Amino acid sequence: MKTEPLITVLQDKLGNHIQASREKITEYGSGINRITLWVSIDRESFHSAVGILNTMGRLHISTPMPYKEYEDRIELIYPFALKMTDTKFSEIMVIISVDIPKDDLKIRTITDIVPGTLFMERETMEMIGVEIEDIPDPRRLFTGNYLPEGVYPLRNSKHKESTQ
Amino acid sequence: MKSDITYPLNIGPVHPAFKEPIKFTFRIEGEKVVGADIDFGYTHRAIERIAQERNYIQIIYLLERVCGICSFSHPMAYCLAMEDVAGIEVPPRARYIRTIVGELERLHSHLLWTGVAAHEIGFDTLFMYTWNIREKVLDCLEELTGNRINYAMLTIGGVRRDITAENAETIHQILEYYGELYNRASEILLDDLTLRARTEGVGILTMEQAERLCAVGPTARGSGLMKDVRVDYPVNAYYEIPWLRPVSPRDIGKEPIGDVYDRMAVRVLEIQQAIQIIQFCMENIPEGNINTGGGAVKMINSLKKLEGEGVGRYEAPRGEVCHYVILDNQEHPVQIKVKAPTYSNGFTWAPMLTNIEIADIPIVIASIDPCVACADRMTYIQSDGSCASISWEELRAKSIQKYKGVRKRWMK
Repeated sequence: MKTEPLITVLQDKLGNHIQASREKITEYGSGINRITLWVSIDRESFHSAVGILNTMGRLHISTPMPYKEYEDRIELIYPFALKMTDTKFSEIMVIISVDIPKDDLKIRTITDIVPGTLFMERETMEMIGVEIEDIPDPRRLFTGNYLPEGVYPLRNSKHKESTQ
Repeated sequence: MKSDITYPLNIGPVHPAFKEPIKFTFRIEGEKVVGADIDFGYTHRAIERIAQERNYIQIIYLLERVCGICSFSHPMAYCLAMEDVAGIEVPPRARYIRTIVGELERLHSHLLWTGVAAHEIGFDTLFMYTWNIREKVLDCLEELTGNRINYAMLTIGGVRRDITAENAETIHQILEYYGELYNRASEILLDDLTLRARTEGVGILTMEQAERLCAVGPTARGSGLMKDVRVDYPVNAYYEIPWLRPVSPRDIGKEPIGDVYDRMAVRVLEIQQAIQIIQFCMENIPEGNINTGGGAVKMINSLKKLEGEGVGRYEAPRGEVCHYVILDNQEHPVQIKVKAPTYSNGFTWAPMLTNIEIADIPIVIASIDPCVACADRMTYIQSDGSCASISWEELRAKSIQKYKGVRKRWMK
């Protein structure tokens, strides 16, 4: 595995809090690869994992968080780009997913580690309905106060309820 | 606070040319800005939600409408994400065509920006000059794709149109045209005293701030953060260009401090770089197929059997565009997340706008090359705590007034 050193560091520090990991490599010849690493981490260790990644290189968040909705939980996905060396084409995508139970839809902010995630966390709160704990600015980002409480426009199930 | 909003959120593609109007709230002491707040959401069109109801091919054309100027970049990131999830290998000729059209877009976008920036400081001669020379590249794009913007050039697995011998001749002509103009244009943009007086030391974003706030594109590179998706991550034909690297104000012998001038210098240098990249691609473009073949129906039928996730990243003229798709055996994605460069760079406005004069607000806002429509009103809070409004025209008049003073001082 090309990402083995990264996984080893995470496993050494977080142990079995890492629930699963897999990597995908697309080869372009001449040693150039596009590498994506997916890691599932439990909610309690998520903040520490982001902190560890931040010490390993230049950590950048690439999109607002997508999610998957299941009956009892939401899987929140954080797509990070991590650059650990100065060589060309060496940035890898590290996709961290965290399961959050629906009866306690909360996760700790990571703006203390990557301040650039603030807009994304604000969007996650208003669009998906996951509460970001300790977020420095909890205001809505895109929607106005006219939107009723408990309606989250990008939550599929909620969207259906609101349009019904 | 949005409590005074009296109109509802726009849902639906109501204004395809711009992604969002935006409101700024400043705290002012005398003529100085001591705090700034940004309020998004006035024309959120729920494109991500609409995409959940469209098939995989329709989404390409929906995503072109995220941004008129970056109308190649968004569908490009989406196609890369879909190719990632489906494991589709794009033919080499298609990768080169994608690179050529992408760089033509960068050329017209940067020329557009230089015109906008000149206009914001009252230098309308330069505005007219850059927008006039921009017409050539738009004409070229129209000949290649059929449209000046919203090119409909891309499809999942390649491109929809080839570059013919006739098109190639046009591309060579515009490369020659811009090659000849570049020295003159860069001399005006980088050496003109009045332009330097209005942009040097104004709207500073340090490298540390750029990194922490996840800045992208020329905004990041102007602060000395060497970050460019074309060089950091293998995309299209960029990884086959051996000399490609992120540009920086260091290329003109200046250590970057992250002011408006540095961001302008990066864009001017990227105009030259775009010309060189297109030249390289035209010289090295291989023969072969331009897509995987089979047509849209076959593609949709194969994609709707897939389950998984894919990421597509592309360096738009304004910075990184990233799309994340989730597929679940359906004719449309379960979810698609779109990130435009202004989403990342918007956060950098707060430090840039702090400790500048009111007259510099337009050029500092414009300096990240925002994708913003109808930013026609601002509210500023005076030092006594009272609120007042200032129209964009009044703000421009203030800017032009300052420019005249600066010109007199520098021309003595």
